[in-house]
Amino acid sequence: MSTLSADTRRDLILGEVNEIPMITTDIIYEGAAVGTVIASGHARPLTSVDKFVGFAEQKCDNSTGAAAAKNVRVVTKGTAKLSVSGAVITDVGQPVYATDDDTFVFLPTGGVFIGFVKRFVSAGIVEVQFDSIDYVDPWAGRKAETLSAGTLTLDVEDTGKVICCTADAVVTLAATAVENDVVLLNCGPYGTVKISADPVADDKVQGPDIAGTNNKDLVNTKATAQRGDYVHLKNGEVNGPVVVTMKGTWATET
Amino acid sequence: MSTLTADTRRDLVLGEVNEIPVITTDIIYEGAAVGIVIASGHARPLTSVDKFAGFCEQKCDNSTGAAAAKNVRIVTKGTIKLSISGAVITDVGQPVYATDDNVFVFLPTGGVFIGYARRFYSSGIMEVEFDAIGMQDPWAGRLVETLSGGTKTLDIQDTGKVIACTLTTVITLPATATALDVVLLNLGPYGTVQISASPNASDKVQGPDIAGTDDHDLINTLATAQRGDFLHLKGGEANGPVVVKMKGTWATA
Repeated sequence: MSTLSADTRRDLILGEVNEIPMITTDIIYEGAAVGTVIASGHARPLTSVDKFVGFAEQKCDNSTGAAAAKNVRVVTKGTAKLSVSGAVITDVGQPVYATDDDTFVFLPTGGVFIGFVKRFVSAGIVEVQFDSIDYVDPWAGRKAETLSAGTLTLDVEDTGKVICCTADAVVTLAATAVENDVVLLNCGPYGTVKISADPVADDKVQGPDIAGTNNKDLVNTKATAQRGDYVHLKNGEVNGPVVVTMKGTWATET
Repeated sequence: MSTLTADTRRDLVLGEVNEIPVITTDIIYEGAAVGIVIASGHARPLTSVDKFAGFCEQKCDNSTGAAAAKNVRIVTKGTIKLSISGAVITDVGQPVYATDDNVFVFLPTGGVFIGYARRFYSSGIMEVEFDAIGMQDPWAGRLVETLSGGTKTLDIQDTGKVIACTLTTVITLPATATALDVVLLNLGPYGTVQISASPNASDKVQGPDIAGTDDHDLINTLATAQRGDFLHLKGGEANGPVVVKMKGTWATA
């Protein structure tokens, strides 16, 4: 190819739909979250290791067919009303993940990102705005690990992770000599989960207008803690971990 | 839930609108930028601590009602003509922030991200493309500090910040031992604001194909400086701060 020297008619595709060849011997039901198998590019009922491509517009029965014998038709972009476990009215804007073709959650662990909450309908039911091509998981590239116990001590193998806290947690940070880049993420509904980032005795947690105090935690204030609050911490500073980015109210314990 | 074994009709919601219950005793006027109170999930005329939800499609008068007595109908996604202080023709693509339900600016400080300038209309007037759910503030997660003085010396408590420069500025960087992570952001119209990242005497600023020189600034060239040019710097390297990301023309003095 080279630069144009004449008008060229481009095929501009209408609509927010797509057709993808299916894997062999499977059925994708209407309404299913559809994933593509990374190794083959073929579609199937979404699993936790797939890429999300949209929702099936109509059933595609390839139960007796070879791979790619049929195409599934999917809606790639729009808003869908879904059951999302634990959803409450303060969750508008939260990222939503699918763990299979009909299970939707807020926890990134073991899920595939599909979109963001647009509207709260009722307890556990929300409208989710999805765009399988354009929207990007805010935690893409990090390994998500759920922390449901009360404590965790980080080491260098926790670098690159998102630690998803679903209950009050004290996370003991690695000493300054340990290179660590980690995100502590609040996954509890509004006002229910407190995260304490606990430096070792000789360290403090410093950040934007946060002086820090040796051996004092940086705490996500529980009363106003929101699902999606986070602190992104990095080691390397001589006095202890420093905040790179954060969301929500975080303060040094007194 | 478990995997599907039968067709399931999903409610696919049409249009780019939303309805959100309104806070008690307030009025949201047509055209208002609407915010969501984080603690309650209810809508109100946007304030600087809210989440942007869209623009009000028609007036919602809940001045005598309880919380959630009425829903406000909002447009969540689209393009809208707005007054933006200082907007010029070179500002297409810039992020736009709201400081209340009717004030729109380029400065992230004290504002809520709403979208990106799409088309220049006339001085101070632009079309803004917004998507309250899908678009993300490019500076989300950082504390934004406006710098309107000519100098600033950074320390460790500036880590995690965006230093938003509205006039020509020399920013003195801390010594290498201070491992801060900071963004210097140019917020002047095209060709009007020069930012100089000034290292410590025995340090240099190194970056992509930038060797750096001890005690010489890395400068956002004034003649081609653009609103939105930035320099993301990290301390911790033995010879001085290093560039993580940058936009615009930056050269060692």
